[in-house]
Amino acid sequence: MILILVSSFVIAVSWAINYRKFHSQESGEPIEVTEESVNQYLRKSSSKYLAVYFITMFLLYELTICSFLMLQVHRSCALRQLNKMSSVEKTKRTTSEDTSNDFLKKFHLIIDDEVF
Amino acid sequence: MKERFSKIFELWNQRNTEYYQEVFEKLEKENKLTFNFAAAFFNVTWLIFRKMYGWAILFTLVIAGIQISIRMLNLSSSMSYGVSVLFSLILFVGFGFFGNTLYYKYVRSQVSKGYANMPDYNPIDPISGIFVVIILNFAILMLPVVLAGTYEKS
Repeated sequence: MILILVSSFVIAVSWAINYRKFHSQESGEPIEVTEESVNQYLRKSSSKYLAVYFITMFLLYELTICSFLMLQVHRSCALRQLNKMSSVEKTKRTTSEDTSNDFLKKFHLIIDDEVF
Repeated sequence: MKERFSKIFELWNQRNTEYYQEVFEKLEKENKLTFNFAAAFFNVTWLIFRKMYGWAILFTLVIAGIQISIRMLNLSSSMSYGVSVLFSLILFVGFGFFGNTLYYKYVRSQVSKGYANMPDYNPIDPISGIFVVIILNFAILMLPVVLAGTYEKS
């Protein structure tokens, strides 16, 4: 929840920066939108920015995917280990219960020549 | 090496521009929807990258709200997983098919305000997108620590 708020804050900050920088340059009256003006707008994107963006995003996503996979592997290993431990515990408990009765039947406790 | 890299990205940028020109032409003349893979895969990050900040904040909050409501419903793990997958699929398809329309409307509004004639204006914003991805990355990297903390408490 905090991270979502932080990311929303980051977006809001960049929105505010963008607004502050370019709002004063906006034209007062609406300009007619033509195909040429739309194309002009699209052509303004800088390839340098694009390069920085794609390389960083690639590295970050790679990191995210790797860390996620690592987490999943750790989780499944831990779960397997826990299952193994609980099954060992169960078998131990059942065998000890079974044997304890039989074991006790075969033995007699003798105290002061009295057999128990 | 550097020149080759810059050339590759110039071509990429040109291809990107051409793609949107084609898509907008189709939208305007034939009213035909086209699928945008970048929007489908990167939804909110794509919105930030294309400087649609308002939509980005709205979708971040909507996604967060839906995730929280899924948790609050106390569904079984498989059910909540299924609902999350279904929601992700809806987002994928929605952004894929309607991302271009959204961007087209945004570009038109920006052009009508005179952004196409501003000399130092760049219609893409990679830095905020990177920041948001870093924050999300941090969440994933910190997950084991948080889980360990809750385990110790319990």
